Amino acid sequence: MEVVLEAVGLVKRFGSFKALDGASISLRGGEVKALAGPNGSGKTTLLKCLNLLLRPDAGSIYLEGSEVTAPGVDARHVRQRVALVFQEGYLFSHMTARENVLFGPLKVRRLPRAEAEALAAEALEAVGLDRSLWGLYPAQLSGGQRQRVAIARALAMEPAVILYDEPTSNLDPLGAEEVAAAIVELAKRGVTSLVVTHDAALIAELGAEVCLMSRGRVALCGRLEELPALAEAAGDGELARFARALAGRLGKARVVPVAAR
Amino acid sequence: MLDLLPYIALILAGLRYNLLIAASAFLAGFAAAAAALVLSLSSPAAARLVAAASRAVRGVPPLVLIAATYWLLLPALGLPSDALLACTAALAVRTAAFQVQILRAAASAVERGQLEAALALGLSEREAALHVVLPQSTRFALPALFNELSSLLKESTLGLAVGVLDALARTRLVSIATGYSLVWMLAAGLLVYAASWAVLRLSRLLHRRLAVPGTLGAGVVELWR
Repeated sequence: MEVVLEAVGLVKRFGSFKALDGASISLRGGEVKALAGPNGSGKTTLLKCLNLLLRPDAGSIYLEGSEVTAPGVDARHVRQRVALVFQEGYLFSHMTARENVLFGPLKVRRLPRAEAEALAAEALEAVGLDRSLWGLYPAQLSGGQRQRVAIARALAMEPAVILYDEPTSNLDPLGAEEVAAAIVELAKRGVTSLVVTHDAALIAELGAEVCLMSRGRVALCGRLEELPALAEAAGDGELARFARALAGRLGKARVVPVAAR
Repeated sequence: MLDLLPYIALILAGLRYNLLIAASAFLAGFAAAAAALVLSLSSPAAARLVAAASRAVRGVPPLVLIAATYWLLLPALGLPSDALLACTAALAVRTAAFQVQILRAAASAVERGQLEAALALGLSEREAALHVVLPQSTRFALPALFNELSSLLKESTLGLAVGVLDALARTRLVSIATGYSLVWMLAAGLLVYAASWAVLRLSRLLHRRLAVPGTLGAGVVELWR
């Protein structure tokens, strides 16, 4: 499959702080990648840059072969193609679950109502939200249900890729399981996805390639089973310790106590 | 007693001017305030302009606004100096200046993340302000907005200065004709009170109708019942 989304050498500064310092990543069509990394390593900033919610200060992003960081490209068009699911979901609280999902097709894509409704129903079914909940407001839904509506809202845009920002981290175990099931289901259907997560169960279930971020760069990528070896090879820094901790949580690492080294 | 009825009817007929002025100024003011909010949320320059205009208008006594509209603004625009129009327009501008402040304060209660989510979907800042922020801040602001309507009902009696024959102006005429000015004033007061009470009922009804289950506004309604 050809590359759908590619970022090369992204730099993003907030004042004197460099949140991204040459981050590069690429996703092929239908590919699912997990992205992990210590807090503050730039994961959320990378996702927001890929969606052009933030403008990178340097570096290039290519979407379906054309550079979208070039001057004169309409960021709004890019945002429609690169969907972003936030950690908190951020559903529109004055709209029902169904209206939230309908909103993108109707107001952003300006599709005819019947077509938008069909898309919304399809998206809500894809994330496994029970039909009886479609008419409820966000405040009446559980965390897991809300997050699945947020995923459906992204899906109804029929994006080229969906970026997830720690979609399960604020949820109770049941909610996390429901959301993970929805993400895995979409991944199986061939939705190109980049999942920022520390949820070991989700990573294992996705069976995806894992990339690790550190200090604003995507420092290493590998298959799940390669992670322990990569962690060994990464030496002794913050990244290596993070990789070992993650591999340990995945239950596949030879854990070497730090004190024994 | 029966010979007082025509006087009462005369005053009651004047009340329609108060209702008309208050209702149209309120609606026009809300439309202007909503537009100003959407503009100021999507452009910092517009935000500064709106804030300055609102501050200027809020500092002027309503009577001066009405008089200036009647004697200066309407003639300058080439319109006939119509008392009803002048009073309604002046109070619409005044309430718009207050309502935009109310809506702005309520907008800060809308989660920032929801605005980001709207932008991330591909909406422009203006569309996000219109479809996501405005509907929620209006709901949050309903009680304060209806206070404005209630104030307008009372401010509408200032129309008397440019010759609107509203309930209060007619009450003055009736007390001059019959004496008993205190009694007539009390009667007019009761009338306006009844109108204010109707506004309050309307506000509660609307609040209940528009409340989103499980949100801030809905909680307030529960307490009110």
